[in-house]
Amino acid sequence: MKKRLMAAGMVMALTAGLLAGCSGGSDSSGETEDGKKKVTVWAWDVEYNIPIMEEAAKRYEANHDDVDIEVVEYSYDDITQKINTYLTAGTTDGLPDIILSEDANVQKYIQSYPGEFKDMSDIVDFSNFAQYKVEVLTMDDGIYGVPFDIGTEGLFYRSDYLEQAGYTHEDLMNITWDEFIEIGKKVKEVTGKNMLSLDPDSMNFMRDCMQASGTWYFTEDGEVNISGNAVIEEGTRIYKALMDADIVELTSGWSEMAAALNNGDVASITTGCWIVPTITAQEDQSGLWRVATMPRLDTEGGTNYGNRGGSNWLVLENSANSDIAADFLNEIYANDVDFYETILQEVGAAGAYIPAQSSDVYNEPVEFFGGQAIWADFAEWAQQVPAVNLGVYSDEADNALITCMPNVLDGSQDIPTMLSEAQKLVEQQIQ
Amino acid sequence: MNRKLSKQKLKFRISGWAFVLPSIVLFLWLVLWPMINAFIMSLQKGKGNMMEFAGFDNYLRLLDDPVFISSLKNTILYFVIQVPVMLVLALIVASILNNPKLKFRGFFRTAIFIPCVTSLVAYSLLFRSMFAEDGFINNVLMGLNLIDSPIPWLMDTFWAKVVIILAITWRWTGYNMIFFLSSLQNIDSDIYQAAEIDGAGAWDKFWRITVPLLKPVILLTAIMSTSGTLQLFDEVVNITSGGPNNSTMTISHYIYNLSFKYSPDFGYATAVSFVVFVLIAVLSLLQMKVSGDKND
Repeated sequence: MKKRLMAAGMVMALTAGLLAGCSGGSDSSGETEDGKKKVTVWAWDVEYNIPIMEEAAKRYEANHDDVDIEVVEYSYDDITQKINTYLTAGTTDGLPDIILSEDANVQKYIQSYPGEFKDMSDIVDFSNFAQYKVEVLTMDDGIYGVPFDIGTEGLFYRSDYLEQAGYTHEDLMNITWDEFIEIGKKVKEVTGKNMLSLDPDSMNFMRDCMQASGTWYFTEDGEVNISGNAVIEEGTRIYKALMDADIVELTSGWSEMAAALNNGDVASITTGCWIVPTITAQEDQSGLWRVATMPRLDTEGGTNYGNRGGSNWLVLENSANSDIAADFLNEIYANDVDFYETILQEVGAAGAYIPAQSSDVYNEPVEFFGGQAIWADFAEWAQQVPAVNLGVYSDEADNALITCMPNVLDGSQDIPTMLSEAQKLVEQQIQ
Repeated sequence: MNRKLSKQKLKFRISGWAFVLPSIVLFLWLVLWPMINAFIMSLQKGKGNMMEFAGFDNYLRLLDDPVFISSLKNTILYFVIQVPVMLVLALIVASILNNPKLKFRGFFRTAIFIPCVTSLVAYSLLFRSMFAEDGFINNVLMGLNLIDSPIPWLMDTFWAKVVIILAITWRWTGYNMIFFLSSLQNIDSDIYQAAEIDGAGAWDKFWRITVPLLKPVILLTAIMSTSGTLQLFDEVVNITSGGPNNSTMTISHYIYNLSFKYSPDFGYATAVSFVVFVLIAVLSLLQMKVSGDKND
């Protein structure tokens, strides 16, 4: 009998431990053991946004010794999953006070979970941020987050290949995509290298074209705006022309793309300025790279100034210390110029905070890019990026175009037909 | 006397129920209740927390959702091609390894089983790099002069499917082989000896003794593989991420996209997962009917 009792006791203890294990771990009181207010931040890149946030935390803690800011690494996908599942389940226990969110995801969050993210419009002076970044965070009258970095787009190119083909920096500035294709053909003829690296499983090319031309897959009212959109038609024509000219190196995923750049397989890439650390990682190519403005579409509103990616800090309204979190973001990310100088020099991150962009640090020449003051260029270009409303269904639209695009590439459909089919597909997807 | 017996009987029954009670409670609480909730959720639509009741709209939407239909087709293709190939392969390998005359049996057995203990994500990433345009496979094929230019494994709709099928076959054949092997070892060698005396050859022995005696295990592995293939996710996400042009996307991957990549539409995502559930149930029933689950 005694043995049995003991066994039963042990089972109970184990079960209790199991249950406790399930509920434990999340500290919702918002205080550390020594009584400090605790602010938790989730971010995803140990080389980029995590050290930056740690630098910001250090600065804030120096002025507020009752606050302890902890930066936790979660992968980009994990953050998305956790936010979606926790908020759908109606609990914020176990969620942090601040999350990092890419531009394209912000509207999904704030529209899907109204009341869960903090309206910062009365806390932060948003006139100090690029207009297109503020647009990303705006819903109705509220602005739900603080812009972090910019993804100002540039044409990163190998000056040695282009020189061999007889082109200078000026030949690449402010050109159209048609001119770019002609240059690309010449470069391939002379050097044997493909001009551009593209991932056929993403529609980043189309997004770049739309952002730079001030339009998007959707109108302001959320209507699908693909069929008959002159920018998308022209973008599709250029996409096909690029493929037909056989000057594109197709890569799948980040690592193949990075390898194509670092191995010198391609002469150029159009992408956001956050690619800089990836390019400079290949130290023996120092001095060979330059940055020009991205090519533009020859349509109404087409500019040479685009943006890809970039992210924002969002505060969870119902977290334990959301007020402190908001104050922290305001004090550092919306006021501290010195902080932005530090992260640019140490990590190579270009913040979205405009006052910082006139500092001397931005004007320093970058040796890897042949002495070009690339950050000053990016800062200047960033202010000319047209603002667009990204809406919440861009991934669905991407997917529809990826599905339909082959019909144009193999010539079985003309562009307007393909786009009206893609339009139908998106409308079907977002009901 | 009578009363005492029924009292005993009652006690017996109570203790019986007491034993199964925990699992019944856990089942009701952790399995049935979420399932009912999920079904209710599949009748709602909207983004994230902004859900409203929509009746069977989500299920009707399935019928003309081209992405769902193509992911369903892909999944069925994997299932129709991969499951039979893998099971036949596993059966052949198991029969070879069961031969007591074979040397280094332990070594081969371990070697074939090892893929099953590798992490799904790790091996998927490995396949991804092996089948890259300038990856190991293309280098070997070119080195042997079998092909002139590299095959765009992950960029071509046909080859991408081939890579996925190769990958899951590599990963899961050993797992099924172990089931076959363990039940092969339970077959009495007397039966084979008797058959040999009757003049049966290796082929006859395989088809007339091994396969019929393995039938319950074949059924088990077939059902497990069916359900596994229909829920295929990790490999596709990590090797091709559903591309090119959705040609490798599976239903599970689509469910994931609906919930976490696109605007979160949990109602529709749940409706899609109920389709998977029904598919698995129907296919398993069919397999049981066809092969006879009475174990006779």
